[in-house]
Amino acid sequence: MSLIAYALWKNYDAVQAIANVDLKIESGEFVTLLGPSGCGKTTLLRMIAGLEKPDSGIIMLDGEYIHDLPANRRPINTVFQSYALFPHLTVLENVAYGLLARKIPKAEAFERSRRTLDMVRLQGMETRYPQQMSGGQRQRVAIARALVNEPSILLLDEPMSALDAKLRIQVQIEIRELQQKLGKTFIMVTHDQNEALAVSDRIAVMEAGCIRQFGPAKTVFDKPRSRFVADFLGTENFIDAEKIGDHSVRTLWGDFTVEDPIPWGKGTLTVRPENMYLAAEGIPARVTATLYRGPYQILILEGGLRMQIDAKIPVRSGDEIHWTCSPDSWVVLHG
Amino acid sequence: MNRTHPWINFAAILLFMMLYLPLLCVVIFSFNASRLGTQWGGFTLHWYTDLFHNELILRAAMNTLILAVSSTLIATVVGTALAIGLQMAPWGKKARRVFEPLLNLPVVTPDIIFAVALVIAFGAVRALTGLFELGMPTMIVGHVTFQIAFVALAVRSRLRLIGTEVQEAACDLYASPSYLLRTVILPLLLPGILAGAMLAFTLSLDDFIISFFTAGPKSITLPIYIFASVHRGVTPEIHALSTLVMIFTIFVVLLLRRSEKQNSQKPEEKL
Amino acid sequence: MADNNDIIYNGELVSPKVLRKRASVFLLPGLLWIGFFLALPCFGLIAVSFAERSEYGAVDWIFTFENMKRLVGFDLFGWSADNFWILARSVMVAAVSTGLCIALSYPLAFFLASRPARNKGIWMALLLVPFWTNLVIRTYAWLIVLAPQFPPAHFAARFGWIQPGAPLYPSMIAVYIGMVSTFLPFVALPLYTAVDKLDWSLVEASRDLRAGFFRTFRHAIWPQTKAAVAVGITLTLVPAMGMFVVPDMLGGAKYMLIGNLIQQQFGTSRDWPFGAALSLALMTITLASLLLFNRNSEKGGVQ
Repeated sequence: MSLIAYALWKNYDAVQAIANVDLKIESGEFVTLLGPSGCGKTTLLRMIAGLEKPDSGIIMLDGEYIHDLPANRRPINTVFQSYALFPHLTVLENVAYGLLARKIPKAEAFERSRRTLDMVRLQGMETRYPQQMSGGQRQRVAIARALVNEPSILLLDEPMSALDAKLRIQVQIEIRELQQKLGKTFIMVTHDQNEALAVSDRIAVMEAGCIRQFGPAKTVFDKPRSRFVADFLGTENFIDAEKIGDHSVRTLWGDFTVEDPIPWGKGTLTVRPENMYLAAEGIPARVTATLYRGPYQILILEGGLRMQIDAKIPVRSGDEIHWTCSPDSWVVLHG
Repeated sequence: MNRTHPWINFAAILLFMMLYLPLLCVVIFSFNASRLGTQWGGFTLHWYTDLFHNELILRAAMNTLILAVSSTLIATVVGTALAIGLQMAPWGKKARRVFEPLLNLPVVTPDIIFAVALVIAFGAVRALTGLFELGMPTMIVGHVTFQIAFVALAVRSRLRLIGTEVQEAACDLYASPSYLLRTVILPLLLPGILAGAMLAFTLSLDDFIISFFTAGPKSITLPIYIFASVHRGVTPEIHALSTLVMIFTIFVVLLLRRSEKQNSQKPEEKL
Repeated sequence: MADNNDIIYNGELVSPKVLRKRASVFLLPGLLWIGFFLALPCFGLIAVSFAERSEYGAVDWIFTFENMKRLVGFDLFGWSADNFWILARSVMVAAVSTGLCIALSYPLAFFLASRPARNKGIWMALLLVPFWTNLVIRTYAWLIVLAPQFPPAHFAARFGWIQPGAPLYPSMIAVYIGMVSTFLPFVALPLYTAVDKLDWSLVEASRDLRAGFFRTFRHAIWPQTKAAVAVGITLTLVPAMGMFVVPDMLGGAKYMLIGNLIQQQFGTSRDWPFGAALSLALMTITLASLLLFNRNSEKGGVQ
């Protein structure tokens, strides 16, 4: 089930919540909308669900216009951030709600709900009430309640924000496995880049109502296109550079060869700490601090660069070291 | 907070005595064999048994109950609808500037002005249509007028607790507006509706002024009966009646406390 | 493109007009009821107060200032200050009763707040039972306590306030006793809620600095309980001004308040226009005192 959103705009009073957003999602993909709070990711998700109305723009699902359909006529279901389970209904009734609302006979609805509850490993909990369950269990009820309707797309709004850290990792794996087993399109919203990287096929990084970069998780991580995206994905080494050739730059640290072409005269490069390594002919630098991180250590170099090397290498604060990195680990930022 | 000044405790006990002494006197003297005022003439229960043979009192009790039950039923339906209607649509500032005062008017208006307004309204209707002679119907209408506001306020606060996310979830799951109302909103609203109804019931049972002004000769309620009797002379019979009313009040108050406690629990924390 | 006028409200895609129409079905019965039976008649009071009383007690729609004149004291026998005194007495009784209730509610609230947690509910219920007991019963019950044979009447007789052998009613003292015991829970309950949540560190600090009782109160307790007192005042002052049952049973004809006078016009005297005029006067005083109170409390930061 492919989704196309085109030229979406939304204003709230004077604030631009969504500014000219285009999005194309393929069938069976796991896409994450990633960004800081206020970037519009939840608004965009709700627009797809039918809970927010864009000021202008269109949304198409498999070639059919859905942006003028109310939420209760879209074959799309949502897992809400606080799950929004119905407190007065049992788990089974909660899960069957969407089926019963569409007038599917009770017997069939409950049977399908039971099978979905089995799928999320909540068998035996049918007659419990949401208040009697743990956070993780409630989340699975919410997921079951959405999936039982066999929607074309499943939307998840920060589904793991209410869970504790250990549970979060486990749930991330479970959700990813579920998505791949079912082959359904999942769209998730989160502000946690580790989460996004763990589960997604593609990530759309958003800021101030715009999609800054949309691509496979690995690409977004390895080759962020803009400073914002790089920063959000955890990059720390920003180096100002001046172009001296199609593939070479001059920086305060020295001249480097870069695999990607340089589009600007002056700009910024970044490199990941783990892609830098010690080399006898490399750039000289003094170590101002070392941070031990278990299997590896972080060296803070004079000037602010961070580099990651094996913890077993004996380096002390104050040492002179030489470092380098390969041309393809340099990331050229475009904005 | 552990140490209170002994003076405070003393004053508080005194004040509690001030609140309860009169009531206790009523209870004690309801067993007084002597009919005369405050001379003790021995213990007897016959005033209580006499009550159940007093036609007037029985009718007044019946009227009080009929009044309370009918007005509560009407007010609960109308008041609940009022509260739902307030949150059903995005009313603008102008509309709210009319709705809010109307909703709060019955709560802030002093009883006697309320009663006078009702009498004038009934007089106007009587002049135009000949209906609304003072009697049970007018009393019911009068009670419903103030009960609506209390029910609506109780239901509205419950509605706020329910929140909008659960409603969005229902729509996301293919519910139509009426299905949403039936299967989600009304069930979750029930504690609020019950709390409002209990409050309305209690207020109606307790009311004197409004009943007094809008009652007809045949539709006397217990408070009115007691008031009129006291003017004729206080008797142990009245004390017995009052004691029974007080016991009933305590019972209703305990029920009221329970329903309000349930109403203020967030739906998710119910169990 | 979706119809541009539609909005999404609580998950539903709908036009605001349709939504409002639908909501009106729910909304209007209640609002119209209150409007017709309460709001409109309050305005009607103004009209009626300028009308004449017809022979059999109905209303003759002839414009007259008679009622207004009577209000300020001009009746068939020239000018008398009776009505004025009734009005003034009502305001004074209400104000003094409210003040007494506030003063007495503090010890009550502190007592309640200092009870161990498991008992608080019981004491609260003890406060609520008189609160919910019928006003008529609570008031006439004082007729027993204030009877000649009992201590209160003896006490007053000893001081010469009343004749020996007479009951302590009808009298202003009885009216005040009745008023205070009626309205005490109205002030004590909100005050208790505030005192329960009191930040005791402020009180302790004040005591540590050896401040006297009044300073402790003014600086540590009053600021935190101001708002509750404001609630108590609104719940007490306005109803007290229109109070009818208490002055009727405990004050009799000698100590009438405006509530009694109004009731007379709609009962035995059957003079609706004058009753309307009196009600108007009461409404005006009520509104004025509420406005005055609100303005003062905004200045003093009570909100």
